[in-house]
This record gives sequence, structure tokens and C-alpha cells, in this order.
Amino acid sequence: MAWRFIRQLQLHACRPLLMSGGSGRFISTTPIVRITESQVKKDVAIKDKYFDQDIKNKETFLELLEVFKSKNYKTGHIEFIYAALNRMEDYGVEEDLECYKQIIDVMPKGKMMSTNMWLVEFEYFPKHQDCILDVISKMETKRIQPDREMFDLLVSIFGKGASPTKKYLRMMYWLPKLKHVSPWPAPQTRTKDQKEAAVLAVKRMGSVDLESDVTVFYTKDDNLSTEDTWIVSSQSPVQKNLVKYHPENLPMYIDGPHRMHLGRKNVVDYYVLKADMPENRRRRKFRDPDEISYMKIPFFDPPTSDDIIPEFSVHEQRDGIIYAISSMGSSSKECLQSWIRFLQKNGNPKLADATIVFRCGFQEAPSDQLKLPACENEILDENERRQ
Amino acid sequence: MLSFKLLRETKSVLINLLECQLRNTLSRAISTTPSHFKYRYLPTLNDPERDVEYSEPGYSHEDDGPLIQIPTRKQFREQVENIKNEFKVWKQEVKDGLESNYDIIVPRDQIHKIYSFSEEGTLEKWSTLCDANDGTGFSSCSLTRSPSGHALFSGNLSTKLPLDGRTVRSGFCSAIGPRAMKSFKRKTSYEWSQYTHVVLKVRGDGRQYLVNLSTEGIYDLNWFNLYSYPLYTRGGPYWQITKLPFSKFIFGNRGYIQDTQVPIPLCDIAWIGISLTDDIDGPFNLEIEYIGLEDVSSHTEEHAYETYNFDNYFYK
Repeated sequence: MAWRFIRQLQLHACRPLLMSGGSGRFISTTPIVRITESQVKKDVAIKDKYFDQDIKNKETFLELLEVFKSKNYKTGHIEFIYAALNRMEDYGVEEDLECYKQIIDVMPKGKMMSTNMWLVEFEYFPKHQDCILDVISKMETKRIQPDREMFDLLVSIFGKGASPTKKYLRMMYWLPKLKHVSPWPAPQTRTKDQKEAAVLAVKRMGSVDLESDVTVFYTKDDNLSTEDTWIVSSQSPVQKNLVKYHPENLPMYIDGPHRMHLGRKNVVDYYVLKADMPENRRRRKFRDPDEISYMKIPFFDPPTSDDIIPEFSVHEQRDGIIYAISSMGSSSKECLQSWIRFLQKNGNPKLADATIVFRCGFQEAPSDQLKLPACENEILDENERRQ
Repeated sequence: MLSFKLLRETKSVLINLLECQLRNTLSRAISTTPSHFKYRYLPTLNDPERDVEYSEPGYSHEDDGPLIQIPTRKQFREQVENIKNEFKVWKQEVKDGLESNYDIIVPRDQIHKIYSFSEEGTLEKWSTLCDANDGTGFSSCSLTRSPSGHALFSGNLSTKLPLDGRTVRSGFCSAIGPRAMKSFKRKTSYEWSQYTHVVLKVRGDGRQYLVNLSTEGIYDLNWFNLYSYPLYTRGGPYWQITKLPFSKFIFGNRGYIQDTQVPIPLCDIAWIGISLTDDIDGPFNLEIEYIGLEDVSSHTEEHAYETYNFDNYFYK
């Protein structure tokens, strides 16, 4: 009971506290203790009713904000903003810049402006500043870049030097700087369908070889197949050549499904047609051609037949040769078989005689459902007990 | 001069020996408290004496698993073994110091591998840390040997919040390299100022990782100073070699980017690590073959970010 009381005090103070707990010493290490989810639900119970609407879309959300603004309330802005923030996911507007701007616009203008350095340093209206900081922090976690209009808005509410404005300036320095750093740009929103994501993902994987040819096959065109899906496949002329010289006594493998992330919203499962390195191409110790730390002096160590091997292509990786990559609409064995038949028609006649081993799970759970370790369940139970 | 150096070295060794090794040995031999600290990963985080805040709201350390009780005599014998090994390391250090200062010149445009994970004994020195370790989340991660014989950093990232009333964001997993140490468990730092790039050969799953360099100083103010830069992975079955210039590393403290950016002090690196904090729930896989350093001759940039100041912009 006493602990709960202290925790409540701490939550309301919103400042770092130094206090002694039951065990003798307790030092709050978090710089600012923010209002938690449960706390917010308790505080904004009145304002939360605003957002219990039947139609939940962007228009309704903006209209609700307009209604609150038109009432010209003197208090209750913080509670309303936290209620709006928590309900953004319900209305599907959590990635909409305009909605964030309208939420910030709820705050009254001019009254809370820090006009001199004393007001800036001692945080004029700290709870209001913390509230807007939470709004901007949420934007940051959703990777939304603010615009100039938002700056004008923040300056008209809090002034140039207040912490929300500072946070805005920091974001506008770093976000554009790091926006295009990735060498493999990916869509940050969810693609229209899985096929579009699969094409982009397979293109990205095949980008190691500039000659890679990405094609989309439809199982309707395959007479032996009963399904109706798509197969995105990537194979380059070099890989076709490698298939041609595949030794007949060795099997090929289909590995998968492996998982690949494309941006923040898309996940693609892919399969690889590969084979182990044949004996005559394998070295006792695989070495980089550019690696010079193992260089031999030819006078003392004359080259043996093992040392003279044609240069490796990019598809001959250390753990096997990669012949083709694909991603498909359904992960059934039939679909994989029709992929092999399509490859066979498109310049790989050798696949008709090859032994292909399927090293993949067909009817298993999707790869995103990993079995959680036991320790996590324990912590979960712990949380339930706390509630 | 040489004798003075040797004397100073010997003095610091003896002081450390007395302070750390013998004190630990004696205290374990005498005290009645369970001696499980040594057998837990990162004892400071799970130490019930230290982290009172996590043990307060109904969290009990008894659920962590059975404590390993070790007989006092065995402990004492282990400590003596440790001291013997440390003397061997120290002997080698003194020898190397007398022979030459061999680290002055490094060959340019060549990758100097500092951690090659296919070699024996490299992987064992690395450790992992995730938010579930200190009760601020539900992620899990591990660093194991992959089927092809390299390191596999894998696990499951979860952004779910524990309902402890204070955690606002969660979801991080990290693999941490060995801290720079001299004999007798004395802290030192790596000297990398001859290099311009850190080079990684990895095979990922398309997610965005972070390469972290810690310059852990003496004062607690600097303990959480990290210089980080994103490591983008292509995804797919092919390996990638990524070269990250030291000049572009971003200075942060406790994960927050600092306003005043400074070039990384390369003579003072404590450890290197890889972490995942991209806020995407789900499993991840990153296979690492090696981590290396390179002095790229074409790279002349010292610091990529602006270092000038505004004159009191915020107060006008």
C-alpha cells in the first residue's frame, strides 16, 4: 500500500525523485517518469468518451478535434490529447502527419509562450510541454518527419526555446540526414499485395548479380498444377551455366522458407535452389581471393593442382552454390514443383534429370511464430500477478 | 626509464591482485551469502542488492532459477588457478612491451580481422544482452554457431511493455564483444586510431542493425557513451561486406543522440557490439563471419557532422 502511494506521488510529480524505499535505499534512475498507460486511462476516462464513435476514420478523428477546439475550454487539453494519442490506432491515423498537427493545434496559443531565457530554463507549463513531447516522440517512433507548418505551430504555442521546439529541431536535423542512408531503399508502407513485395524482395536479393533476371510465373500456365498462384523467380545467366555443369550424381536442395524484411511493414518468405560445393571445386580451406595474409612464396611452396581453381562467381558461396531464388503465393510442395518445371522450361533442361531434395517445412506454422523461451512466460506470469 | 616502467607496472599488478583477487577469494571463503555472482551473466544487473527498483513490485529473484552452490575449497582452488593464468598473461605482456612497439604502422587498404568467428575461442568471448535481462521487456536473443561455422546472432524482438509503471519503450537485443582487458582484470582500451573504417562480413534478413562502439570512461557519466551507426542488411542467401567509416558514427548517451557531436576517440574504445532496435516485432537472424578494421587510403573525412554553435539561438 505504501509502495503504491509512493509510486503515485512519483507519477504525479513527473520529476526525478530521490527517496528511500523499503529496502533502505532507492534512487530513481529514470530522468523523467512519464505517465503510464494505466495512469492515463484513469485520468482521461472523461475525455476518452469523445472517441467512442461508430465510424472510425480520419474525417471523424479530425472532426472530433475540431469540436473540442471550438468549445474553447480553459483546462483539460492534456487529458484530451493523451486520449486522442491512445485512440489513433483505432482510427487508423497513427501515421498521418496532418492528424498529429491537428492534435498539437488543440493547445491554446500565446498563453504558454516562453519569451525569455528564465522561462525557457525553468520550463514554463512543464506538463503541457511533456504532453506535446510525448506526441512528437510518438511521431519519431513511427518514423514520421515533421514539416515547417508544425514548427510555426510549436513556436506559436511554446516559443522558440521550449523543449518541444528543440525536439522538433533535433528531428529535422537527423531524420532527413539518415532518411536515404540505406543502400537498399524499401517501401515504408505496406505494399498493395504480397506479390509486389515479393518482386521487390527477390530483386533486392538478386542485386548481387547485375544480370539477374526476375520473372513472375503463374501456376495457371503449368498443366500439371491445380493451384492458382504466382511465383517470383530470379536467375542469372551465370547461374544457368552453373546448373548446366552440376554433377549428376549429386542432389540439389530446395531450402526454405527463409524470412526477409522489406522496409518496416513487409515480410517476404523465400526459397533457395542450391547444391553443395562439388569436390573438385572445394578447397581444404576456403580463402578469399583478396586475402593476402595466407600468401605463399612460390619458390618454397610450388602450387599444387588444388591451388589452381577457376575464380569463384558470386553465386558460389562458401556453404553451397545458389542456382535460383524464388518467393511464391503458397508454400505447398506442388507450387515448388511447378517452380522447378518453369525453371526447366526457361533455359535449365538439366533440371529434368536432377535429384532435388526438399529441405523445407510445408504444413508447419508460419515462420513468424517462433516458440518463445520459457523465461519469457515466467515474466508474463509475473506481470499477471502484479495486476 | 625502462626499469621505472616495469616498477610501475608491477605495482599496479600487485595492487589489483590484492584488491580484486584476494579480496574476492577471502570474502567468499568467509561470508555466508551464496556465491552465485560469478556464475551469472552480468552480475550487476541481476544483483539483488544493487537493483532494488526491479525487485520492489513483487519481483522475486528466487524465480530466476536454482543458485549454484560451490564448496569453499573449490572456490579457493579456482581463484588460485585464475591468479596463475593471469601471471602468464602478464609475463607475455611484459615480453611484448620489451620487444617492440609493433602496432604503430598498419598496412593500408587491407582488412585486419579483429574477430573472426570461424576461429575457435572467439565466439565464447562475446556475450548477449536484451531487455528481458533487466526486466524491461520480453525480447530474447542468443549468439551461437551457425550451421556454416560462423556466428549467428538470432532471437525474437518484442516491443511489448512490462506493466511496471515506468517503462515507456522497449525492444532491444544486442551482442557485445569482449571488453579490452589487461592481465589481472585491469581495464584498458583498444587503440584503433590508425584505422578509418570498421568492416563487417554479414548475412542478414533485411532488418536494420546498429554497430556500437563504446568509449566507457572512468566516471559514471561516461559509462553509457556509445558511438553508433546503422548496419543495413540486404537479406537473402548472399554474404555482404559493409565498410562503415568511423567519421560517420553518431554520438549518443543511453541511446539518445547528443546535440554536440564529436569525432570518436579511437584510442579509447572499450568494446564493439551489434544491436537491434528497429521496433519491428518478430524473429531476426544475422550471421557474422568477421569484424575487421581497415585504413582506407581514399577516405579523408574526419567528422561528418556540423560542429559549429548557434549564439544563444533559443533565448532570442
